Amino acid sequence: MSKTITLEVFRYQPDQSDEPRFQSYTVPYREDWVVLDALNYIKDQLDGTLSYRWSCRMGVCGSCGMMVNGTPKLTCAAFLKDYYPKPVKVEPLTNFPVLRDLVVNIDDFMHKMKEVKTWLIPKKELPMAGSGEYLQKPEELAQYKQFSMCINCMLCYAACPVYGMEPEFIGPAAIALAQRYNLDSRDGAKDERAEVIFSGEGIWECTFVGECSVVCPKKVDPAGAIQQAKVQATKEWWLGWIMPKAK
Amino acid sequence: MTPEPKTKQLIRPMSPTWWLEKPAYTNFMIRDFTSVFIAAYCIFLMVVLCKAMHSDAASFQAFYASWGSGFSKTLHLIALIFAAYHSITFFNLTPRVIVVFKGEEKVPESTIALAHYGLWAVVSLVIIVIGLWV
Ligand code: SF4
Ligand code: FES
Repeated sequence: MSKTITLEVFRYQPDQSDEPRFQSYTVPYREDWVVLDALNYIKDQLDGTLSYRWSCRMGVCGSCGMMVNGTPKLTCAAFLKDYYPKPVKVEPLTNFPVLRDLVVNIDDFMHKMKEVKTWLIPKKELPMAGSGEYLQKPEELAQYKQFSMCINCMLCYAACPVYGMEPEFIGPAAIALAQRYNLDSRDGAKDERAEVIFSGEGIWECTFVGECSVVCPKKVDPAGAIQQAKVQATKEWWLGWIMPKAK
Repeated sequence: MTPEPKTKQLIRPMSPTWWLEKPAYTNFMIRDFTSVFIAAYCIFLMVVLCKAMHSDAASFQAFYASWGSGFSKTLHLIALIFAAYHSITFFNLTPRVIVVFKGEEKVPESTIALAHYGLWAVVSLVIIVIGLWV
């Protein structure tokens, strides 16, 4: 008989019941299968009502984040062989409201990215009347490259107890992305972002639990980004205090 | 403000025992609570020292003798263990806060951490020498 593995899947179907529940599915076990493959098998073969998000299947789009046995993971990168033969519990990302089954509401995260302005706001107009390029040296690129690897998967938010307790907290990825643009030699909107990231809901909420960086699939180290921003804010505060004009 | 949801959604509140659910969270709580102990210890030390310095010679002697009691030794041993734990966890984290670039390359994390440990050793040595001197 071929091997099988059990998935305990979180179900929430607000049109049927206000109460969530767990449903067990037994799927074929294959060594090269990830949790997302098992979910796709359920959806195709066993139960078409199951809802979840995914797209690229290769750790790039950031949409397949779920709690796998209590830990935030990209389900397209979580291999069944790491859990077999025990059952695998799949839940929606913690700290986010659930819309249906494994689908969470990401409005808050999207809103925070907007607040922090996670896009490039050029310092200068494009040279040559808009037809030129913004030049950047490799060492300037190196300053922010690590933070630019973020795929907006929100695993870091699911791992952050501060965000769980204080949803106003701007949170790991949005702050890491703010740093990504602040450290970019072409960008000129550091002060605009400072208002949000140096505010009470920004970096100072972080108590450096550090789990955001542990779960990050792209080694962005958002916890490091936040602490670096704290040092920068402190430096600027002191400078502004000692030499008000130098700031 | 985050926009209001247009559909029904399920909010899952955090359990009061969230910090027991993962060793990393428990370690964080230990770090937080031991830092409160260290802060309280520093304030306590300053208060008793100030009081002792402003009292007469006989009561200062009595205070000095009380430092040798079992209770005092235990308290200081605990403070030392906690302070060492915090110094180590702090130094291990420094490379993630102090990022130094040499051209395109980052100065290795181990170099930054080791520099802190080195400085710690030097400062401790100086304090020990001064302590033995006076
Ligand atoms: S910082 Fe890492 S965990 Fe957080 S959203 Fe970006 S890639 Fe995902
Ligand atoms: S499906 Fe795109 S990251 Fe997993």
